[in-house]
Amino acid sequence: MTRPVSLQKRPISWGKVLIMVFFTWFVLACLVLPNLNLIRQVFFSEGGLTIKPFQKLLKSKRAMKALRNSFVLAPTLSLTVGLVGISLVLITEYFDIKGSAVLRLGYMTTLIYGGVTLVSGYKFIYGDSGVLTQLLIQLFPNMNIKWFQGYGAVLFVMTFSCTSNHMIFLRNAMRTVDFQTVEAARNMGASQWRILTRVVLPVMLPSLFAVTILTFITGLSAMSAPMMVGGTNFQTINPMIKDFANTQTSKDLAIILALILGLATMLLILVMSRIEKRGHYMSVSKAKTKIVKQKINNPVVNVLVHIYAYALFIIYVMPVVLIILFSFTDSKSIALRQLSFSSFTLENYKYLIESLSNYKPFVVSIVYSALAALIVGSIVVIACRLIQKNRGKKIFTTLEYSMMIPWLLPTTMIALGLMMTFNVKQPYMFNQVLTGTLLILLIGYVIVKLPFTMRMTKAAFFGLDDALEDASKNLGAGELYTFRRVIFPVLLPTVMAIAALNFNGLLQDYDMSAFLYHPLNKTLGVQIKSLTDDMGNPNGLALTFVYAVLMMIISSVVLYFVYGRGGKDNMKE
Amino acid sequence: MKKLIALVLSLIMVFSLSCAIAEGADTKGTGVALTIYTNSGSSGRADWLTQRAAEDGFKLAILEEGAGAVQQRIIGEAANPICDVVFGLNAIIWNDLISRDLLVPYAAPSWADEVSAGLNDPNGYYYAIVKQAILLAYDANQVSEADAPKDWLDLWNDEKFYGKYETQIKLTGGTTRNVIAGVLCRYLDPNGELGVSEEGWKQMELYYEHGTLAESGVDLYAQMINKNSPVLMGQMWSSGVTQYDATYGVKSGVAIPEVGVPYAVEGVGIVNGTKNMEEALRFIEWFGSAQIQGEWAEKFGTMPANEIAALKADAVQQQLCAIPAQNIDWAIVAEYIDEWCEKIMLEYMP
Repeated sequence: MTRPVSLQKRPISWGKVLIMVFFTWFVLACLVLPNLNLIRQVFFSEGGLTIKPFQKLLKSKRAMKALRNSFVLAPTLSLTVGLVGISLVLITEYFDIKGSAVLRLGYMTTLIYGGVTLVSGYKFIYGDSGVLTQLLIQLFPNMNIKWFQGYGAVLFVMTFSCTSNHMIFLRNAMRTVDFQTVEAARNMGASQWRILTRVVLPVMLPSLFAVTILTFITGLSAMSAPMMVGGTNFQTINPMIKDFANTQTSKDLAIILALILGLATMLLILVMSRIEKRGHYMSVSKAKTKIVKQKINNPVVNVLVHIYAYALFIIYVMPVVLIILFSFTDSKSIALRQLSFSSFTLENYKYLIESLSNYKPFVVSIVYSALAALIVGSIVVIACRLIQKNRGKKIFTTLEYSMMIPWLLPTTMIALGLMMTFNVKQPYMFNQVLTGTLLILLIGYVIVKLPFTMRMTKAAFFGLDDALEDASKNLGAGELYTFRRVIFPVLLPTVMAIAALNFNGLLQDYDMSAFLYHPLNKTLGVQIKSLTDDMGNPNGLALTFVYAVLMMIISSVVLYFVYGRGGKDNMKE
Repeated sequence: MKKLIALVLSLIMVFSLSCAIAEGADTKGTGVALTIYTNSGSSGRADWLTQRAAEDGFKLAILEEGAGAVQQRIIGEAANPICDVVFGLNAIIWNDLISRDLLVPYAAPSWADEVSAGLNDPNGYYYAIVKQAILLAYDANQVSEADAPKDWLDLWNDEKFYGKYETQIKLTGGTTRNVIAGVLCRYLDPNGELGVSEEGWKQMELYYEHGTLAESGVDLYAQMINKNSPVLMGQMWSSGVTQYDATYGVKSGVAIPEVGVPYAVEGVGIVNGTKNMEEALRFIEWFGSAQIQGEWAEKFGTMPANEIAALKADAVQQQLCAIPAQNIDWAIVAEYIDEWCEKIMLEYMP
């Protein structure tokens, strides 16, 4: 050893001080003060906080019922999505299933579309004039054609559409499972089931916790699915929050409701963190080997699993196929959910491409999203490193939770907070007015993507093998060098996957852009919204589909380049 | 030297005089960049306007957004306004912006008298450019004129319409808010809750009780032609009637209430705090002129508020916009509409 690092008394590291100053400023100036300012303006503009908004909400049967529904949906969804998500990962990565490469592509379709389009896709199959319903009605003429409505329908749609995070992060985790541990267990005579539950799944736990939190949040803030298939009995609270947020005098209600959801989320995060701290799940051997797919020994189970895998595949792929087909028809066919050759048209594609021929919004959104994904990724990686190095210190725990603040408020409100705070010179923003500048939207994009990035990156850090770092240090590498050359490369696949998801999400952002975009630099989300919501063009319904297909293509390309490659890197040891 | 000064002065006078004389579409821009906010820029309208204005020397940066977002932005940016001129919106939002002191009144442009009576703001905060009748439309192929509702109130007071009309779940849209205003304004009562009498709220309750809630992602006209949906009627704006008829193969009928129908009046105003007042005034003088509004109507099928330009609009539009305007106190509506919508969302929606 040439440099006994730990024995040297090191001078104050100015770099570290600078980083700490930056984070203190960032948390206060971007996360805390704008939101506090908004809350102050909303609640205290008319002479102090009153209990009136609470009374209004308590009196409203509709609001209470919607709130209850959201709280019913979130945990059940976490459960169903968790089960389906784990099974997807096992099918594609662990068990030896015929045609798993194709299956995987099918399961990954949720990564490229969502929202209203996705639910429409399901309605093409299960809705009152859907394919399946029409088929069933031949068999059972007396059945209720509106059977696909309510809690069950919402749960069904969301269970199969919210597995994206499992397909990325849980899969990544599965790949870090050390096959030697599996073999060791088998040599000791453990059954397949026992190996799975006692050896494989525990390693995936940190990631499973993280994605479960995401699912819970998705359930709490469910929007399109309840609105489209919930019927009057199963509406959730988020659409109401969104409408209140967009109404001048109802913002107080929006904030209260959002905070209720936010606090529930924080509670869950807290509990999960506690559980996480209890055990540090790690595979133990020093030279990892890649997992070898397991053939299911029991032939009956094997057949059943294959059937299950392909049934899931059909559930996943059908909506996408129908959306693509319907995107070549007109609004009338979509409304009637009838496919026919006579209604085949390329007009909508032509119109959309002409309207987007001014390609500037594309460029603007690509630049913004890429920059934001990069910045948020960097900030979070540094923050996670700090938190990891200083586990248990209060100030760093505070930093961790501060990064989750944007989960407490809807995007619209965060945008409003930024707009209303930085429309005047603020000392903590270096006396610069930010509204009307290019910068403010970038800040907004970074802020909204913080919590997700933070939670997932943290999970990746948790999955790190401390031995790696120790080895590097023992060999005399400096802290920065260790991080750059040893830790970061291991994290890279996850970091890249998160960046890709952030990029795709921001590319279509409307809520943040709407209030913050620069007049000369319209973003894609705003452009598309004005195309599909155009009062002067009644063909909006068809355009929504065409635009969704366009976004599927873009998302696929991005995922292929970033995640596809990242996936391969991960395979190398 | 004195002669030179005199010459320069007289030249300036002649020049400024000629400027003053230039009216309407003859007004030329000076190239000062104007930032314009509008909710009325889709279907290529923003692009068309930018180009057309550039031909006459105006340099425009147009921000195009939904009406609510435009309103929010102007409110949020009040301390340091970015926007110079705003056009589009509707009387409710105009009155909200006026009450927040976010607009400046300006001297009537030369075309102000050509606008149909009652559409311009009496205090000169905005002048009207386009009008849109907010209608109760039905599918005339399935409902005969005799069986059709005559007024909104018929929908929930006559059993035969129960379930057959669409009610809105999203109350942030301009059309929806005009419909709500059109109903509640008949029951204004300073002593009632939120300025509306008990009877008025009863009507609103029944409206939602007997209607069918709109399905997100599905247009009214899509419901009309869908055999599985009971919906046959609902709200529609006048320029949408012809367009939706063509898209969905429907033949629309519209109810003509005795009290008239609400009109969404798109206007043009100047944001309080603009640094380009002169150019803003020149632009408005040019933009609202019969010539430019006529070109706009021809190109985009809207109904100009300018009566000379209105002759360029298509026959159906002229007919629909001939329905008398309902007498609505927009200032009161602007004051209460958010709270009305909140109450409806909390208490009356199923």
